[in-house]
Amino acid sequence: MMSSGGALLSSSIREIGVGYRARSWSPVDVTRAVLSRIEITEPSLHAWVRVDSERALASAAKAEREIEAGTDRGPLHGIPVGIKDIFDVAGWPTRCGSASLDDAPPAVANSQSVQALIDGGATILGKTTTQEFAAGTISPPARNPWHPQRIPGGSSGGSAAAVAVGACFGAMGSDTGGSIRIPAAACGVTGFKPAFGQLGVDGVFPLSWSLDTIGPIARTVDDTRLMWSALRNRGSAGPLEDLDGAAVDLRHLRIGVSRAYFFDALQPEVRSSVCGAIDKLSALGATVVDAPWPDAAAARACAFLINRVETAAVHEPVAVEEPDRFARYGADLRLRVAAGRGISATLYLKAMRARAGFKDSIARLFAEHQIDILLVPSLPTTAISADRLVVTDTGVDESVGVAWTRLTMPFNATGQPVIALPCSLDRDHLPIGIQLAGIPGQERALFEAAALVEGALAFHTTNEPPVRSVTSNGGHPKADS
Amino acid sequence: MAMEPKLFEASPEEVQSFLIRARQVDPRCEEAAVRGYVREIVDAEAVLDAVNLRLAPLSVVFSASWEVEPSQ
Repeated sequence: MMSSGGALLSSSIREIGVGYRARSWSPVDVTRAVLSRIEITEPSLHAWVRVDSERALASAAKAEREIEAGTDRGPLHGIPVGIKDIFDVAGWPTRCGSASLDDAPPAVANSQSVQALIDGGATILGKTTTQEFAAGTISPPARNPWHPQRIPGGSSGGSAAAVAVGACFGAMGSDTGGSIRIPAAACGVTGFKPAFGQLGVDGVFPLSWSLDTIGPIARTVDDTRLMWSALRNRGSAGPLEDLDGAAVDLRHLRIGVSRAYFFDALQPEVRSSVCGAIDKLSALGATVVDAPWPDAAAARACAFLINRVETAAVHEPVAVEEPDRFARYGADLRLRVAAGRGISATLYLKAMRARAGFKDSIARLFAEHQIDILLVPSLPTTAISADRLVVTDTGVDESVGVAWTRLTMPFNATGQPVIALPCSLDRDHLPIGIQLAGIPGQERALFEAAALVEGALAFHTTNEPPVRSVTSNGGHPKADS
Repeated sequence: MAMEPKLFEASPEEVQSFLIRARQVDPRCEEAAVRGYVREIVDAEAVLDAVNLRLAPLSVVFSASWEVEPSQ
């Protein structure tokens, strides 16, 4: 029996997996529905740079045979996912969103994380749009599913946009200064930046090796957690029933709120919405305490400086040895690489040294206030227009690149795990998001806390992107060509 | 660790130094763009300089773990 495509694509990874095992629908049914959704949404979203229908359907058919034969690879078995185009996928070129790599040969092997997803039975649909070499927050030409004239955020913008419209159930992103959390917030989905060093980055093009992390973007906290489990355990996430969240309620959750810095220079509606979410969590029983972190601005500066130096170092060999290729870089990255050569080694090492101090200071903050998570906004604004990439309505005039990394970068300096999830819509029906920063090594507790917060805020039960609604025809998915 | 930040402006000499290095690999680099880039770097340095680093460890090897690690 096959469900309608629209209903299937609104389901969670867990629900899809339960349906596979109950023979209510099959991986091929679901993959066909997803491919149909891509076909419909892609002309306005530009979330994908490559979709391989034939390969995806072959993978789905294999998953279907395995499940029918009683082989269970775990929660991602037969689940269609997307991969940001800085991850190597064997047989496809990794172009990193750059014209300089238009002639890139197909990758000969899968990146470590893609291999983990494949080992877990996931169906790889294709590659998603990224900002050039993951260095930025705009992700052209991808657009925001909530408003096609707005940007989806970046650099993992294609992954977040695709997840938001049901064009895949999860997607890989990378986060060096916020590139998972920023598009997750702008597109109204969930993103997880693991602790620095937790997931291997082999086969992923680097941006800044001291800060680079990779992680999943999915619609809900539970979906994100299932992907993270597979990545963490190299495919063997365990059977679905073993990953049920512990039954903890909000009364056991102690939330720190760091208002100075993180609540400065926000759009008024972002501030009121996030404060409203905090009030709601408090009213439902969570303990909310003020937990000021005076080092937040300096932690951001630290991550910014490390990022700029290492980005220049990654690309300098191309600039020096392959000038014709370097000339094909976009202007923003060319400037970052060329001018970044002028930053002194002293400043870089000062930032690296300071970083350890910031990790210690945030650890002390958690201990002093006995908090489980730190809650702050993800972005100072909602998604901005693709035609005007500046922020002017927060009280501070900034480029989108500066404004949109202001609240995320401090946690790249500390290296701790952070989940970004949506909390509400503004008056223009654009998502507003929050970040929950947790304790390294206590990711399970962070996911459990995030699931409680998600349940209390009930974003997904009341909101779907307009693109998603328009394309939910309620009928059977179209056959893929 | 926090102290009040002092704000700096990039000096013309500083901008010129960056510009020379930048044009070695990208002759098209515009001075205005480099000046903007240097301003961001100088601002970040000023914020970082407001932090007392005397207590920060000298090692630059980073681990995200919060467990106490033996000093070298």
